[in-house]
Amino acid sequence: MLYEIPRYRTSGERHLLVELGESVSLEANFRAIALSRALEASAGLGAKGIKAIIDTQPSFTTVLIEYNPHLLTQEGLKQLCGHHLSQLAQGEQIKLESRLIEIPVAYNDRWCRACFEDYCKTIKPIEDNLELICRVNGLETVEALIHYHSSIEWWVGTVGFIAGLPVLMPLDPSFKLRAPKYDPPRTWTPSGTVALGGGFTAIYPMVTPDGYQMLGRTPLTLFDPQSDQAPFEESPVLISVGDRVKFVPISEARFEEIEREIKAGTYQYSISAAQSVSLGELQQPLPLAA
Amino acid sequence: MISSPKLTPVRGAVQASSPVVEVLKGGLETTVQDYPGREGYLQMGIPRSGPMDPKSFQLGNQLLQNPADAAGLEIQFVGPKLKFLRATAIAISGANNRPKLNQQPLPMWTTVTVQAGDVLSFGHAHSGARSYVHFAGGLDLPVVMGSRSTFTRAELGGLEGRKLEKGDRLSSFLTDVTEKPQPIHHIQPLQRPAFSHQWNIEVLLGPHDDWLSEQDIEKFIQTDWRVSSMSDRVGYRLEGADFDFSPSAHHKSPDNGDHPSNKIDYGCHLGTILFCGQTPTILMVDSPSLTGYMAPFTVCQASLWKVGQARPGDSFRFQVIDQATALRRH
Repeated sequence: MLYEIPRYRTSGERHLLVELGESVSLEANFRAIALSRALEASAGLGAKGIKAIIDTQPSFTTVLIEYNPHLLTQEGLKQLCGHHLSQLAQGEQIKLESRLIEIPVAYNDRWCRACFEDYCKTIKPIEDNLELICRVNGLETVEALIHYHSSIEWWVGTVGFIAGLPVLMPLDPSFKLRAPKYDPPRTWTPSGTVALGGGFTAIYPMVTPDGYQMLGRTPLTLFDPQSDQAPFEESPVLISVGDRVKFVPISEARFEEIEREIKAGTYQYSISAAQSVSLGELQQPLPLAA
Repeated sequence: MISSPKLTPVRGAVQASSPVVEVLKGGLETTVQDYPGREGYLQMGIPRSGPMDPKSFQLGNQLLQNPADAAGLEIQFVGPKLKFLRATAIAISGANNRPKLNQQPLPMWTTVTVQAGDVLSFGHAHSGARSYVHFAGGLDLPVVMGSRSTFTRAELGGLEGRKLEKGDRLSSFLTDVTEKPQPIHHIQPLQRPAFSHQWNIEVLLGPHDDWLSEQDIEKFIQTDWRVSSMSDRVGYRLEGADFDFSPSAHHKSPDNGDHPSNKIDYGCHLGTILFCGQTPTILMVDSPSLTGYMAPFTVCQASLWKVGQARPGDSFRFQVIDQATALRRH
């Protein structure tokens, strides 16, 4: 799964792609995020110092690093990565600071259904998204699917593509939910759509083309570069890499109510303080009480 | 939101601005950009944005002795029509799109003084895709995430995050320059970027050159690539050859996907050459920060402006150079 020695891949003269493993795993992703954070904290080299390290983009098995090759050679950067990786705990002991964010979702909502109907009419007729996911995964009812999808904590493995779009991996190793992608992709997806593709869940901050199967829609704002109000006072994105997400089913009526509360500035986002958590702890299944 | 213009000129360190142009026609896609744009936000999915041809853009600011981060306008293919609201100095750089002031031809690559009521318009460029209008002092717009550059897909930066439209007004910072006769600066023809329909682009191997066969790499270099009409500030698509891919691309972890060009999502950036199936796509200034396609080559920094100036139908030839050579070009 993980390489013994990372593969360093040149991506132009200002970027280095560090590949930590050949397949997707929470462990590879934890290590990628930990390396990214260690590089950004490297005293004096990062954004607050001489800007030798300009940016990092962790993903499932890789970290892309943008650096200034006139201040830090590629060889020097590789050595720095090697050093940081050697400092990380092995296996399930690896720890990261992580917040838990609740995302209310109107599952099987009328806005995503309208988008689906538009696709059927203008591109080609396809199977209902939630029914397809039920069929592929052997679930009896759409209600069972909604209960299952919202029963676990999801791990934010990467954020990117377009402003603040998180891609989530299930933290419970026994959780199995998969979905094929649209072919051809949709030309648009409503903002706030929560969708499943492969074994990942994505949330769309804005109207965007995509191919994941639509599950529902959240009224929350995921990207706000202008606001200095909570939760955007420090970052323009609601969900950052290394956060955890718990979906909370809501009705369409509650969706519209939350929309109004957000507009009025009275909505209370549910975001826990960052806590240091180990991969081992997080992979314990949640008690089924809720 | 555009910041409210401060009408009282203040000299010295405090920067005051006042309205400088009114947009009579927006053109195809005219946007406010600055250089280098947004740095350090890949992890949030925010691209760099900024000018597609950073070379012309930087020269334009130098003509006016503007700060390096001064914002100007990027014109794509069809130019806008702008009416000046006060006297100022401007400079036009990039592709020669036949600028006119009050219907009279206006020279590019030089400083020009304009008066209130003057109207700036444009014709069409025969080569090159993008031109730049710079204003003395630079345009005054809110700095969003470290830059005034427009990223239209996320409605970010620039003027309300969008392209210019009829009726818009833009302000520029007041400088001493606007109140006294202009020192005239020129960029001599030999110092200007050389425009063409055949572009030689230098690339580095990687990150995934091991997913192509040696014959594939040779084919990439020997092919005259044609720039597709589906090319914009997000990416440039190329047409010209098909590839076999290497055994590593065919026999890989199933997490990567079915097609040999599919790869577990990873970080990508300005200059990455993705192979989307059989279609090489050069990621440009407004590109996504993650991709699921492999990338065997990356455009060197010094060649990026050429991609940004290429028109659909132009041709590309690629040359592989090494890291040390690429750094010497900076």
